[in-house]
Amino acid sequence: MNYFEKSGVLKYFFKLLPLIILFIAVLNEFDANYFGIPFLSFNLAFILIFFWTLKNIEYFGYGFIFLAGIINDVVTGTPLGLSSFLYMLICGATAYFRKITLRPNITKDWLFFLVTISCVNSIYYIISSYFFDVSIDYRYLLTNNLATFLIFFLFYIIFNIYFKKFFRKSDV
Amino acid sequence: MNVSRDDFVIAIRSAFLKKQTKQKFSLLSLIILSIITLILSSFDYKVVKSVRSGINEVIYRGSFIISAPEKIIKNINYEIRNHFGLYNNSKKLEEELDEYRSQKISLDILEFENQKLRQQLDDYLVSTEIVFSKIIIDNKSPFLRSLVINKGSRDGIKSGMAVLDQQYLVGKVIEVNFGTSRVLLLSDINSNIPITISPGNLLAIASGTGKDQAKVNFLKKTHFDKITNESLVYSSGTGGLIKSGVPIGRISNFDPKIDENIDIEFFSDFSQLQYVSVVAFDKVESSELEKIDVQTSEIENDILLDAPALRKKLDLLLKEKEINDQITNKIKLENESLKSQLSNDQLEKINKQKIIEEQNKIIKSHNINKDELNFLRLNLEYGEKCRKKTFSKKGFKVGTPEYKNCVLRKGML
Repeated sequence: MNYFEKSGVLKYFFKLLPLIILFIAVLNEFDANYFGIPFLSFNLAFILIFFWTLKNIEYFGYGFIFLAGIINDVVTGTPLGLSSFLYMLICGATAYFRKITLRPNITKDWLFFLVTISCVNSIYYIISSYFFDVSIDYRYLLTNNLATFLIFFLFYIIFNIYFKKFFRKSDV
Repeated sequence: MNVSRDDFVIAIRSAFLKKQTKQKFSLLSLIILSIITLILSSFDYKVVKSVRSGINEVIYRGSFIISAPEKIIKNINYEIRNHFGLYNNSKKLEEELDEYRSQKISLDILEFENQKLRQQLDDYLVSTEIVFSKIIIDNKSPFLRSLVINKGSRDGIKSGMAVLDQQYLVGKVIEVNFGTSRVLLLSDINSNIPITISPGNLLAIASGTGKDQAKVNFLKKTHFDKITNESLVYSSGTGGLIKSGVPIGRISNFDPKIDENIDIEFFSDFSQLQYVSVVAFDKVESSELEKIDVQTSEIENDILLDAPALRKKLDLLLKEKEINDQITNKIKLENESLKSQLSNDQLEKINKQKIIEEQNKIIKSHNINKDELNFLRLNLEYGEKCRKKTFSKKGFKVGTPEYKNCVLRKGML
């Protein structure tokens, strides 16, 4: 333990952990739907990308997010490049939001998250249905959107504590 | 107003065009790259396909490894739940097994008959290729119900092949890579399979719902009365990809008074799939029919040589003999009663013939009397003219046939 602490491996791991979780989430198609309850289904990748790109940490690069999108497309079987495009749109939204916000707070972030994921899911539905002829039940998409929005609050608090504990100003 | 618009443009430009601190790629370049990828993936170019196939191979393997702990936890959970219900399940299964064993033999016989009849109709599809494969990724996403198997084009998998869990249909192959393939489950919203609902032989389409069931589409309401909650769903064989008669599921919770949706409950539990068989069905060529006949007879022989199967078959034959004996006895009894009835009828017939003859005689005698009456009547009127007189040569002697004829001619000599 001391060796790891001294060498900074553990610190480096903690800084990389959000990115590792993102890759595990997309590789595993994590949607917390093991109980078969549709309302419990939420998009962890959206939450992770939104929060950590909003914080603009060094270890959560756009290239990695792009790659995570490609992986997600392959795992879920959606058209290749679609998730990357959606993830990039979230990154764009957070970059814009970061620029226009002087004093960030949880309420603003939360509401902006709802607007962002609603737009992104709408684009996902439009592209899938009209350009690739893949049918998607919009009711599931809506419930997933709502559940992701509601659960974001919880993740925001957890990630915020994590951010304060393991990241410094130099990491941003 | 201009100031706020400028701020917006600056913020957008800063967000999308400029590289962020310590970012290696600008957002705009990545967005353009993802759009190019999206467009390229929609085309069927060979290069794009092979690149995509390569990416799929690598990521599927990675996903399989990453998903391993989650799968283990899920399996443990399933095993624990199974363990608690083990005794009851075992008892129930034993009873079911006994029942199924007794049905198996008669089903085999029916199957052979069915195959022969189908051959005659030239509509017999056989599974030419069966590839057994393991599931490496099982996604239960609400948007997509699919799974990835560890067999691909190198193992002879082709797009459109049917995927079976034991003998139950679970889906079809939609994407083939070199060593892996993606299977679209019947429960996926994009899945549509032609089906037959039995009894009634109703043709319809089973469409996935994105849940654990499918629903019946393109069935007229007039046929709803033929459907019950015990109705079985099979593949209809329309289209020729999947042979007819592959079991899919049964109708569940159907009540046309409450809801007109007809749900299909699958025989196979898609959440518990571990191994599947991928099957291609081809039409039997006439040259192969003989081979199948030989195979069928061999199977029949195997069944006959198989001791428990032989016992079962003997039981069946004995039962059949008993039924035949009963039928023969009944026929004998009926025969005897018919014979006795026949003899009675014949006697009656003879008696009636006698009566008819007597009546005919009476009718004849009645006709004779009628002629005489007519003669007498005419005799009164024209007898004078016909009778021979003392001083005349004309006329006839009374009582002679000439006289009678003359009277009947009304006195014309």
